[in-house]
Amino acid sequence: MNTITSINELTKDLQPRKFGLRGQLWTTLLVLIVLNGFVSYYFQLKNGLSVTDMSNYVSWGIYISNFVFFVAISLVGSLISAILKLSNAKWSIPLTRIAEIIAVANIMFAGLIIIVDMGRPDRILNLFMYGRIQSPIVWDVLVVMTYLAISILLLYIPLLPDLALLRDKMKDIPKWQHQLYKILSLGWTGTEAQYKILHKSVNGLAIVIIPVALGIHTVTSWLFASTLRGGWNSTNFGPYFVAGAFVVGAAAVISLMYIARRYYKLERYLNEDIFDKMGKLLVMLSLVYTYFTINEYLTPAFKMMEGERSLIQDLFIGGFAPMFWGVQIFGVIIPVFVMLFRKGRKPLPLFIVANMVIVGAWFKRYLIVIPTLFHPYLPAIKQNGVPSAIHYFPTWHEWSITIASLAGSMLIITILFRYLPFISMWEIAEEQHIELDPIIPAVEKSKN
Amino acid sequence: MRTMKNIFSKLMLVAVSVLIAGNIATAQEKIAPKLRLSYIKHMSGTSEIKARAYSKKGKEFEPCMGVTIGFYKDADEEQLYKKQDVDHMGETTVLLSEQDASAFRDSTGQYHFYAKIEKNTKYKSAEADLAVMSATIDAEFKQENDSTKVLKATLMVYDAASKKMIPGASMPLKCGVKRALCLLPVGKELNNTNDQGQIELSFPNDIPGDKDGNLTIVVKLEEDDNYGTVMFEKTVKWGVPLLHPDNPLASRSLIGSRNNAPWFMVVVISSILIAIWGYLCYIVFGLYKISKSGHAGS
Repeated sequence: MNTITSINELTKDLQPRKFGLRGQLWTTLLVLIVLNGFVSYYFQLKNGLSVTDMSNYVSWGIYISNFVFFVAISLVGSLISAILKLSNAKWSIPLTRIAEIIAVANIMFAGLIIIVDMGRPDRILNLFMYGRIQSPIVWDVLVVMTYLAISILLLYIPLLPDLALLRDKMKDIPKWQHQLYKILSLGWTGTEAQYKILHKSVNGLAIVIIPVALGIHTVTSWLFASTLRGGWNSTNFGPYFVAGAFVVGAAAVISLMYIARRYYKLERYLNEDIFDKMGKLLVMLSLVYTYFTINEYLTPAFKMMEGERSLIQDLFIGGFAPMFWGVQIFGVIIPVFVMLFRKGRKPLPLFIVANMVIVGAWFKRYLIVIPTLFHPYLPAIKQNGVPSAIHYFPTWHEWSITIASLAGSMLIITILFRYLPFISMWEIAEEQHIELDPIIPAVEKSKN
Repeated sequence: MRTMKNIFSKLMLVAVSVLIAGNIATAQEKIAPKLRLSYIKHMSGTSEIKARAYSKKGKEFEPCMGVTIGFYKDADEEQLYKKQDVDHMGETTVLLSEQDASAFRDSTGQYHFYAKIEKNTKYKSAEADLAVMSATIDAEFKQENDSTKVLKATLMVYDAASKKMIPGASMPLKCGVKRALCLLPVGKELNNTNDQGQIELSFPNDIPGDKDGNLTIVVKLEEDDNYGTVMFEKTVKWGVPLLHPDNPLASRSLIGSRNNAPWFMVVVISSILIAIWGYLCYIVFGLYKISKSGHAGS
C-alpha cells in the first residue's frame, strides 16, 4: 500500500460517496428486480406453492439450492475477519469490512429464502414453539440466527471509530445522514477504555465466529446428509460444504474488491499485491475443494451401488451431465489453471475467474439439491396416473423470486457501500501510524 | 439532476407496471372447473356438506386450488349460507348443526343444497346441487354369556308419501372399526338390510383396542343416491386391551417427541447456545459501556 500521510487524505479517499449515473442505474435495476420478486411472491402467497414446479418427489427446488448458496457465500466473513485476522495477515485489513458486508447481506437472505420456501410462512413461529431439538432443521435455524448476530456485531463494532470520523469530518451531507452517523457511533470519542473494549470484543468475536461459521455450513450439510438418499448419504458432506463455501466466499470478495477498486479508484488500498494474495488463497481453497469433490464422487462411482448408480450416471453422462461438467470445468478447473499464473492473478483476469467460480458455485448447489430428488430409493410410482411423476424445472415465479433474492443481497451490499466506509479507515491509520486525533488518539496506547 | 430523478422515477413506474402486468397475465388463463357435493349425516346430531372442486387436465382430474365456494339455501343463489375457501385438495366442508340443517329442508322433507364456485382470475364459475332425504341408523351391542358379541343395526328412512320414518329394506350398510386412516371392515364388505331395515353381525373377539380395550364401531350407509351418507358411531369395550410396554416414542431417543429428546443432546445444545449468546450479550454490554463513556465524555 502506498504511504498515506494524513487523516484528511484517508478520509477523502475512503468516506462514502454519492453514486454517479452508473451507481444510480445499478441501484434502480436492483430495486426493480426486487420489486418483481415481491410481485411473484405475492402470487405464491395467494396460490400457495402450486405456482412452483415442486412436487412430492422434488420437494426442494432452487429456493433451497439458493439457500445453500447464500449460506456458503456468507462464510467468507469468518475466513477474512477471523481466520486471516487471527493469523495476523495484515494485507487482509482492507478486505475485512467488505467480507463482513458480504456475510451480513447473504446470511440475511439465507434466512429469508427459507421462509419463501415455506408453503405457510405464517406458521414460522411453530418452528420455535414446537420444533424438536433432535432435528437438524432446528439446529440450522439456531445456527443461522447466531451467525447473523455475530456477523452484524463483527461488522458494526469495528465501524464505531469510522462512524465517529464520518460524524465529525463529513459536513456536506444531509442532516439525517449526519444524525445516523451520530447515533450509530454511540458517542465514540476514542478513549483508551473504548479502544480496549473494541479490541477485546473484535478479537473475542473473531474466535467465536470460527466454530459458528463451520457449524452453520456443517449443519446445513447435515440437512441433506442426515437423510438416507443417494448423493446425500455421505460422511464427507460437512467438510465438503465448508470447503466449497470458502471458495465461493473468497471469489465474492475478489469480485467486490475489483468493483470497489475500479469504481472508487482505490488502487492504492486494493492494490495488485492483495489481488495476487487473494488469487493464491483462492487457488489453495479450490484445490482443497477439488480434493473433497473427488472423494465425494469417486468412491460411490467406483462401487456403483444400487440406488446411487442412476444418480451418478445422470450426473456423469445423463441429463445433468452438461451442468455437472460445466461446473467442474468452468467453475473450478479453468479458474484454478488461470490463477496458477501471476498474470492470471492480476485484477481483471482474477475478477473474471472469480465470477466464473461464483456462477459455478450457484449451479453446484443446484446439482447438490435437485438431481438427488430425481433418484429416490423408493421406486417412483405414477402420480395422478402420470408416468413421469418426477420432473422439475423452476417456474417463472421461482426464477423471479430467486433472482430477486440475489438482487436483494446485492442491494444491501450496495446500500452499505453507499453509506459506510467499506475499507476500515482507523485500521489503515493504525497500520500506517497516522494520528487520528481527536478521534483515535489512544490507538497505540490501547495496543500497548 | 431533478430531470434525471424524474426520468428514473418514470422509468421505475413503467418497469414495475410491465412486470406486474406480466405476472398477472400469466395468471389469467381461465379454467372451467367442476363441482361435486356430498352429504354426510352423523347420528351424533351434526351433518356435513362436502364440496370438491376439480378440473380436467388431459386424461386426469386435478384439484382446483385457491377457489372460494358459496353455499346457498335456494337455487336462485339469493340466500347465502356460507362462503369457504378450498384446501390444497380442492375440498371444503361445511358443518351443520341439526338446527342449521333444518333450514335446508323443504315441505316434503327433502334437504336441498346449492353451491357455486366463485369465479376468480384462474377459474371460471361452476355450480352444483344436491337433494337428499332423511335417514337414521341405530345400533345395539349384545354380548352373550359364551362371550359371543353381536352387533344389530337398524336403518330407518324418511318416506315422503306417508311422511314417516320407515325401515330401509334391502339397503347396503358398511360396518367396521375406526382406525387412524380408514375403517377396518367387520362382516361382509356390504351387509344388506332385511325387511325390518336390520343387519345382524357376530363381532370378532380379537380386534386390538386402546389400553382399556375400547373400539369405535361405525355403521354407515355410504353415498346413497337418495339419502347421502349416514354414519353411526359408538365407542364400546369390545377390543383387546393393547399394552405398550416398549413405546420408543415415550422414552428419550432421537426419534422421540420434542419432550423426549436425549439428555446429552439437550445439555450439549443448550450449553453451546447459552455460552455463545451469553458472550454476545456481554459484547452488547460492552457497546453500552462505550456509549455511556462516550456520552459522559462529550
